[in-house]
Amino acid sequence: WGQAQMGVPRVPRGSASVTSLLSLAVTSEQIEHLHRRFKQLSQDQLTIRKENFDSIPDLEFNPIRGKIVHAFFDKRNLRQESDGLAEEINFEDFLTIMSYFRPIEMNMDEEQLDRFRKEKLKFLFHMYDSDHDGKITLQEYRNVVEELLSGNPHLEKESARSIADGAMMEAASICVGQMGPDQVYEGITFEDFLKMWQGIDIETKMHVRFLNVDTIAHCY
Amino acid sequence: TSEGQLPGAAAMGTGTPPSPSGTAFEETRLHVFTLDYPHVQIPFEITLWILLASLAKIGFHLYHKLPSIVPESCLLILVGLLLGGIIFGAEEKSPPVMNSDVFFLYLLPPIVLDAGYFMPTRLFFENFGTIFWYAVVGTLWNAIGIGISLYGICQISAFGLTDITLLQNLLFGSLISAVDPVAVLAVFENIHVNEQLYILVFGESLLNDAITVVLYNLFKSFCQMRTIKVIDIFAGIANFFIVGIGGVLIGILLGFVAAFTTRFTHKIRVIEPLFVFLYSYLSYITAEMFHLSGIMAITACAMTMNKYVEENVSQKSYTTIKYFMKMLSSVSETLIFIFMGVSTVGKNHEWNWAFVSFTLLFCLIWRALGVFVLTQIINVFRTIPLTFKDQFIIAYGGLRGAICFSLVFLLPPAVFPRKKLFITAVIVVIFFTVFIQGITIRPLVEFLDVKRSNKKQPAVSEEIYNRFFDHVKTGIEDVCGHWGHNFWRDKFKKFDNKYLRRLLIRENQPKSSIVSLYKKLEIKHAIEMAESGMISKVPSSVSLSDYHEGKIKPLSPTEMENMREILTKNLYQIRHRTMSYNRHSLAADASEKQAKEILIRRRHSLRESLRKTNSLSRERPVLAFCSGFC
Repeated sequence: WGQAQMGVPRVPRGSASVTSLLSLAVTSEQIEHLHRRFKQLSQDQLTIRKENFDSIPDLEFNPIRGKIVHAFFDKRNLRQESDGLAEEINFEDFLTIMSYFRPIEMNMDEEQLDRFRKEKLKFLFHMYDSDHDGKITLQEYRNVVEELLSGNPHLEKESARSIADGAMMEAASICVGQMGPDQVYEGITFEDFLKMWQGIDIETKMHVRFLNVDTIAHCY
Repeated sequence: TSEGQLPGAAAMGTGTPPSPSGTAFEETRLHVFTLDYPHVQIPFEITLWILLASLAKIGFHLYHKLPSIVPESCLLILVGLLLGGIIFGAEEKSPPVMNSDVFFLYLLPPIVLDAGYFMPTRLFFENFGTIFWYAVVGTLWNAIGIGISLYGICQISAFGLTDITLLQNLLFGSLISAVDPVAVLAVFENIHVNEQLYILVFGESLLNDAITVVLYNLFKSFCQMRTIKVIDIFAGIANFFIVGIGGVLIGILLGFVAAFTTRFTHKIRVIEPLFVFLYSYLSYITAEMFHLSGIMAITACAMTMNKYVEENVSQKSYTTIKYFMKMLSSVSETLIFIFMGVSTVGKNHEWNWAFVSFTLLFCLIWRALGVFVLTQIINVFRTIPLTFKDQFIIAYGGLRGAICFSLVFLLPPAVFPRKKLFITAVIVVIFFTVFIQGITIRPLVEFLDVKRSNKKQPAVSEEIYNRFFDHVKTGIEDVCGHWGHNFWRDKFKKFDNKYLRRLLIRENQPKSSIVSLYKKLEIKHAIEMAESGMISKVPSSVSLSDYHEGKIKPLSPTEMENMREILTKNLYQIRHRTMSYNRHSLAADASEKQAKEILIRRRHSLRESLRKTNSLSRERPVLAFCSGFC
């Protein structure tokens, strides 16, 4: 599809993300739209940096803005072997991140669904786990809750902390169950995270409808 | 005669002793003891009925396995049948049929109010398109399908039904295709399917009221009109929109008025709950007055009120509202089913094998077909497609109940000479759906391994997740320049915060749903602990003075140890005791050390927030608990 569309960059066929995208019915129309958006954000450059995200006015009001932008540059999400943050991302990386938000297809089988779910949950996990150590510690959780409630000037840090504590307790009870008196619950690992959300299909909310594409994106 | 009346003998008096206009001999003596039944007849009978219903409920639960096999609705109908049989046998005439007015004006509103007030709004609006689709198009499909196929059957002269016209059949179809919220609630209550499925079936049963009302009135008028013009059909369609939207508007308007009223009730806390009930009932009967959909009005009112009233009323009022609502709806439901049983017995029937069996058959077939076809269409637009299992449960959960029962009794017999036939058919369908489908749905749900609702839900984590994810979605949508659902939800939230909340809530502090959920859980927890008698055990003058001075002094290590000991000892007990029925109780047995630490910190922050946020400061028991405790 790289040749027919004007201006769509040629992405090497073999790259994993593109094949996975193609195999899961993201239409070329959607890719074209995303490419247009990419060009807007990057101001016609080939890559985006963190600063480019400042040009989205609506994102200013989002309390977890930092985490969202961070997620785009997180190497773990970009399926690169290494760790840490990338300096800049190209269109392929952009698509990779967007692919986490695909809606569920009807014709997926069990294994695909399971992989799908794990991918999405992993994305979410990375957003919570800011120091990349594979565990969501109490401090990181507190950080998340504080950020979430940061839009609210009347709330004190104490409340945010207690809420995070309460949530950790819930997680501890679900993941570990009965704990001995000397056991300390270190943090939520990815397996624990999966266990927590086992009965609940939270990943079903994790999609953006690409179907009705309006180019209202002239938000400058 | 009056001479035969001895003092002390009960006189079956008519209330007034015979006037002493006769001879002095006939003068009545003073009655020491009289019985005057007709004076209290109506309230007495009502009380007895309600008492009977409640005693029956107790009776069912004595044998604890019974409610899990047979839903209560079936048992209640059986009790009603028994009663009806007794009355019929004793008096040789049909027992009092449930008056449709009584049903629609008194028995139905509490149930719908209860359901609407506690409806999970988020899930409801997420699935609104699907619910609306099933309710409107599905009911239309069923009504017309059943009507036409029954008409086809009626044409066969062998069945002796040729005098039933097409319009009468269509009317019958429209009243029997309505899925009934009362029956759905009664049956689904016990089987605990996942919330999405529940909201689909239940939401459909609520929303289809609009279309049922319209179709019923439409066909009834058509039956009575001589000629039908095209303009009448258009009038019918316009009527549908007016009925539906009008009902919702009345509900929302009165909901706002109610919220506004509760803004000023802080001096008269005692009658706060009354406003909730009055305004919602008012919305129902106002809608009924205009022949709009009362059910939609009261649902809209309850859903609107819920958000704002909760923040204005005191904790006690909130509890009162909750319990009173549940009590009313439970009583109503019980009465409805008993009356259905009683009204079945009698001479109101005309049996015709063909009509009855084909009605039942068509109801099942058209429902199944309808759900299947409609789901294929709506799945294209849904982000979480509905599987076959879901479809089966939705189709199977389409229970009929008291609404079509009452509607059929309301048919004017002059226009419908075969009314008794209709009544019989409706009763058969209702009994089938309530008994057979009601009893078998539970094993079917288990057999099909339908996803059940998760008892042990991480309440706070889930709320955090939900909020977190809302923001992520909004962010991603902003990044890819796309307006989605979240955009509108965001806009509404902003509008809400800016205007509505300022107007309707007394002490408006921008609230976070996470914080309010958390505070609710905490208060609940605190009240439970207080109720279990923990206050008396912990004297702590240090913390009392802390509270009054408004400063936090660090507690000495021995005091901390003391507190920790008491906490852990009693904490475990409480959790153990309350786990079974408290859906929102937190973790069962967390690690002791962590529990101590976290709980102490929580008490700290709760105390602080109690001081600062006025809305909780009126809660005396919680305060006392905290001050004595921390």
